[in-house]
Order: sequence, then C-alpha cells, then structure tokens
Amino acid sequence: MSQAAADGSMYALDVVLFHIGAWRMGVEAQQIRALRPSVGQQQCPRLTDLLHLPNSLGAAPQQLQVRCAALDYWIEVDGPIDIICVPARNIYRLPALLAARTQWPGLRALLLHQQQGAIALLDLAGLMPAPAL
Amino acid sequence: MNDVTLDQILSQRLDANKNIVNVDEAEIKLVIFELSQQYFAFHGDRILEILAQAEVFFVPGCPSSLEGVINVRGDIESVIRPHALLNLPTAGSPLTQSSILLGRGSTMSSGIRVDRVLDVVDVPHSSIRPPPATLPEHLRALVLGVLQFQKQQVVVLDLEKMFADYASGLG
Repeated sequence: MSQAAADGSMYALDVVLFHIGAWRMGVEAQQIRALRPSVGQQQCPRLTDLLHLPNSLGAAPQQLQVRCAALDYWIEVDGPIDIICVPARNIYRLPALLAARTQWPGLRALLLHQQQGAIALLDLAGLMPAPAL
Repeated sequence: MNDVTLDQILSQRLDANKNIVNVDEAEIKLVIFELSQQYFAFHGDRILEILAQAEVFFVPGCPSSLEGVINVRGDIESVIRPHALLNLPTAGSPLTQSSILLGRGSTMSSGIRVDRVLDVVDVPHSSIRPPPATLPEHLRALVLGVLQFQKQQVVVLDLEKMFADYASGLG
C-alpha cells in the first residue's frame, strides 16, 4: 500500500454540511436524495427532535430528503447547506470513550475542516424511525 | 616493599566488585497531578504525553464530563474531565494551569484534564502503600495505592479501571 493510500490522502468523500442551531454537522452526501428550502413546504420532523435536542428556531431552515431502508424521509435542518468534498485524512473515527458515551446513536465520525472545529458526521438513516411493518 | 603485583590488585578488585550486591530498589515512574486541591498520580508508563496547550474541539451530544477532542499530530483523542468520576468538585480550578494528560490503556486512550501537573518522579515501589481503609468508598476500586509527596497524600489511580468505568457510563 502506498503512503497516500495508507493515510487516506488519495480518497475523498462528498459531505453535505448543515447547521443545527450553532453546531455545524454533516452527513455523507450519498444519503441525501434531494434538498429544498422549508418555506412553503409541508412540515417534516426537525433533526433536533431525532437527536433529542431543544428545538430552537434556526436560520434558513432547509429540508433534506434521506433514503432509509428503501423509504424516503424528509427532515428539517438549518442552513446554510454546503456540499463539499473532503479528503479522507480529515475524517476521524470516534475515539473509544466518545463512542461509548455519545448520546447520539447516529454519530459516526468527526470531520476537521477549515478551522470549523469538530464537525459531527451523522448517519441519518440510523436516526430515522423504523418503518412500520 | 610489598610483593603484590598490579594484576593481583586488579583481580582482587574484580572479585570485590562481584561481591557487591545491588541493593537499589526497583523504582516506578509516577506522573503526579492535582485535581480539586487533592493530589493524584498515574503510572508513568500509562501517560504518553503531557499537553499544556491543546485546542479542544467541542463535540455535541456528549456528557459535560467529555470536554471534546484534540488533534494530536493527526490523531483524534477524546478529552475527559475525571472530576465527576472521582466525586470531586469542578469549581475553583484555574484553567491557566491545567493540562491534558494523554493516557493509554490496553484497549483505549484518551486525554484527561487535570488542574495542574505537579511532577514526574521515580519512586521506590515500597513507598507506595496499599489504599487505606479510610479511603472513600467510591475511590477504592480506582486506587492502586497511596504515597506521600511534599507532605501530602498522593492517590495512585488505576487508569485502565478509570477508562473502563467512564466508558460504562460512570462520571
């Protein structure tokens, strides 16, 4: 394996970044099928509800369409939304103690990107309610 | 004149040296630190680094005892505050003197925020006594022993057990 492959510098991941209140978060772009401004759209669950966070009115709310178990869900997040391509070396596995103590089952990894602190990378599919049988 | 030769003297010296038994006691390195005006220590072989200034990135969705993560030369490590785990108050700890001890257990590693690093010392094994019966109940399982340092009692903590307890939801 080359040095570049070993440290992941030759790989990159498309990530959709958004806000929840003051926090910057992201999700793997392939989980997102569409996005639209919330204004004028049917109401959908806010991500704060799925993460059991206090519901605060965020700026420029947006709706993301998430594919989960062959079903599509809309969820609301705060803007602005950015789609970026990040080198794999900027994406980190959760440290063991953090993985053990996080209160968010959908927290998968951390992204360090352009001095924005540690951006939580979520698995939105893991946060969605199980489909009714 | 003596009829002893230099060879004999040197040979005698060699034999004498053979009879010298090294009575130096095995020593252990300790990293001694302060938390809420109490002295604690970890075995030195469990501490990879002492970080006086490291930028801690907050991670949402974690308990308040998990301060965040630090980037240590390309690796991400968590930073925990052990005060709650040790039933210690967190108030009154000036952040200016605080440091992060980068601790390594057998299966996990993490930064540990301490109020102040006091010293890194080598002490004889025998100076570490078993935990006294007067030690608070909540500490007993985490303590390897105690010793005296600068006329204060230092509690030597079991880093492995601390990490395991923290991972299981304590603190």
